[in-house]
Amino acid sequence: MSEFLRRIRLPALFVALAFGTLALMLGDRKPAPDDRSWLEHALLEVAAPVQKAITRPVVFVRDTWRRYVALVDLEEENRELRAEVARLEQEGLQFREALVASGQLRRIAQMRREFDVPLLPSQVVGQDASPWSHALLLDRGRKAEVRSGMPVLVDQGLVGLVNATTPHAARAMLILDRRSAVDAMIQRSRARGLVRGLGGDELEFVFMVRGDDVQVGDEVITSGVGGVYPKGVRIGTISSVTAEREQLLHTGRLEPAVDFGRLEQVFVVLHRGPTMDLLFGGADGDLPEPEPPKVADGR
Amino acid sequence: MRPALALLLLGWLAALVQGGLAHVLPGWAVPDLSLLVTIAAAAALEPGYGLVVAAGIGLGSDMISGPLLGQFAFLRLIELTLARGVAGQLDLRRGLPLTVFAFALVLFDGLAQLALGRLLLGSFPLQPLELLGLAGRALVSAPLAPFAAAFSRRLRDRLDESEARRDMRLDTRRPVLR
Repeated sequence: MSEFLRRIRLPALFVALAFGTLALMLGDRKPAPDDRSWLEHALLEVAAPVQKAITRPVVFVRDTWRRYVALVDLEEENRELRAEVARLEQEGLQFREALVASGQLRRIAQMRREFDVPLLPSQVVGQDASPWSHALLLDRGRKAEVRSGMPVLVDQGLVGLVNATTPHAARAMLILDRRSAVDAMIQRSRARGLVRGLGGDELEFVFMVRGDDVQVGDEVITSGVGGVYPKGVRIGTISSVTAEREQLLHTGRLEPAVDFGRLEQVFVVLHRGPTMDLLFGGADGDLPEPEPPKVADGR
Repeated sequence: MRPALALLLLGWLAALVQGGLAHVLPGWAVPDLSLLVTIAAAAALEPGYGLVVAAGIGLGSDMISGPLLGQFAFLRLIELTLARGVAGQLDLRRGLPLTVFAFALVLFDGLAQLALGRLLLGSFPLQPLELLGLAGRALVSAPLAPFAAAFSRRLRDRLDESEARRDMRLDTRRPVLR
């Protein structure tokens, strides 16, 4: 008997571990609330400072080379000008958006609350090591009011969505990730569709045929439908459209507005939409605070 | 026990370093360090400890990475078993066979992640350029496999030695003669 047990020990261990990991995978298909396991917390907490320490010297050397050795001051000036152009473009988009809204939705616009939520700046300290998934590790977490389900932006446009947090770190899934889907619309024609991540550097815009006008060069912005992302945030520009008559759904390729390879600082929108509240459990997702020690009052 | 713990910590550290490197290097140029530690663990540890360490390393990668929780843990288990199986046919202590095997295993890992994603998350389109990136990643990772294996063996030997020395100290105490 003991010989038999000894013989099946290894296969049994393998099967148990394999089933355990499969169960974890199946369980993780649904969005989980922020109160994940203590081990995940611990690793994410450790990951942010360690990855910061790893990337800091490399980033320092790279920046020094770019700024002072390779291009002296030109790099800095170029960066400022790019930021200015991006800001002005975003501003122009917002003005155009306001014009369209005031023309088409005058009555609704009166009822609409002004969208005004705080943005929290956060440093990107690491990226996903997997070849197929796209995520960022941020150096701000629940202590800074960051919660799962909050959108992440930069001045050029939409970056992604926070999907895991610890007290001092957060993980954000990029819109490039295959699991990402954003309800969006063409700014010019108001044609609505879905922007999906393809896993590479491009995005896909899926839209209905019925008279929807989508052309190469069109700007795609978030529609605000679904209550996940704020309305009017730039996502990208249509680079090609595949239109086959017999198909109901057409697709277009989208060049993202954000240069994901150069993200150093992002902004977390400190507001979570109602859909995300439902998905992530309704509450703010905090780990339960430790109860204060009960003091006997002697009675 | 101590070598297993050390390799588990090394695997977690590898995953962290990998994440840090991914921030400053293009995706294809980031070596799959945690996979290399798993291959090293297959050669350096007893089978039972190896399985637990591989699952632990994978779980660590899962927690700091984007894919489904458990995906890397599952794959590391499979990869460790593959490494042990191949070690029975090829001499993975030698540099060239180990490098070739590591190259194949990095490719397998990428494609298996893709297959799992397709299976569990539905639509998972693949771009040809991504396959090239995966091949690049395998090319960058494979030559590091012999170094990772040598380092892991040395780590194991040192920890085993210190454990053995400690036992010896306990065993060789002479009885006091009166």
